[in-house]
Amino acid sequence: MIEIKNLRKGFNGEAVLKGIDAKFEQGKTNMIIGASGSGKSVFLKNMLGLFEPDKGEIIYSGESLLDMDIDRKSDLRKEMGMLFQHSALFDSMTVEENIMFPLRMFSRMKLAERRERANEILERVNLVNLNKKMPSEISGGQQKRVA
Amino acid sequence: MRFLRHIGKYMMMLIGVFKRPTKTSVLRELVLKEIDDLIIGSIGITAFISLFMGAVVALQTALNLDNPLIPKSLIGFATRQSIILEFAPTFISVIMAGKVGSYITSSIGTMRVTEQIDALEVMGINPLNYLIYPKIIALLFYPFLIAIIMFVGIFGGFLASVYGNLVSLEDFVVGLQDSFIPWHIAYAFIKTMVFGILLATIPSYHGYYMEGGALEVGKASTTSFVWTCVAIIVANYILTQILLTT
Repeated sequence: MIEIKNLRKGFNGEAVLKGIDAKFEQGKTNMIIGASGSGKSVFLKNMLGLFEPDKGEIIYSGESLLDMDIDRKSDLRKEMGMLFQHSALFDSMTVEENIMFPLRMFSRMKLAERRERANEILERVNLVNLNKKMPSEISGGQQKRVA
Repeated sequence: MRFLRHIGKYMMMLIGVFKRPTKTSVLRELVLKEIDDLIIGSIGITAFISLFMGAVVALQTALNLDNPLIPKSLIGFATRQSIILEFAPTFISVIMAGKVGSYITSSIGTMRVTEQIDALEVMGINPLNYLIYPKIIALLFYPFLIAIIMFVGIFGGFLASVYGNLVSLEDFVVGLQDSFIPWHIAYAFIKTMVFGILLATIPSYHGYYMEGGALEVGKASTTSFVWTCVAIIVANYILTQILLTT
């Protein structure tokens, strides 16, 4: 379970998150809805530890995110996924290389295996034949699907 | 106070660069790519500038030699000394701050703006190590570039003065060999190593910690160029004081 207690975050003196409390239970799908600029992304980035809250607590299964050292945070993040607003694909890599990147970093898979896995994924999101394209050569929607 | 905060943050960044290293096979590839981008990619322009600067130094020296008591070999001597001691290590580093420094700041800054750095963090990768460490290692090869620049600069001086009929080949070579102190070469390369580290880390700092959008990437590149130049010039003075006057 993920628990958020009195989360506060602001930028340049302007409060964005004003004391958020929430609980995310295992096995449930949660939605965060709000107007543009209301702080949904800021909230998620706080949950991931990409932003440091001004106040409050973020607790993962009884363990406070703010008390975790960088290695523990890293391990925790490996279990998370996030689709960024700008897709966050690496400009210098092709679509296929972007998909293979985590496999290359964290598995012992050989290139052929990684490529096969990347092609399987591309097939699932209807992006066959885009393997060698650069992120800038595909549409925003396609970028989101690759991400 | 703000300056001190930046220095502290810069130091913390340097510590972070050496923590949680990236997979060796990936790192090896990144280092080779950076050597290609930062060092090999800079040979052309720096050699071109160096060739002409060497020629101009030789010409200026020759044109200012009015006194018949001063030997013509001074042209070779002055070219060698100015190229080895200052032009190759310092002047080329300032040029590199513009070429390589802006590239580093803008590439890392764009990654920050487009959340690619956040994506690395979410994947559990240390972005500091992944992005900056290969650049530091690549720029440790910077003295090889400077060695080429030294040769090309002196060659430029030779072409301008000997083929411009300002000095004979024999006099130029005598000047090149006159009062040669091997420590000067070591001094130049020590300076180059320090400048290389500054060239890799200061622009990386400005790119990594930038905030805002595309416009701020441009501003960060300019700021990074200014601070890299300042750091190079100050380090040049301190190193000269330490290495040549003691």
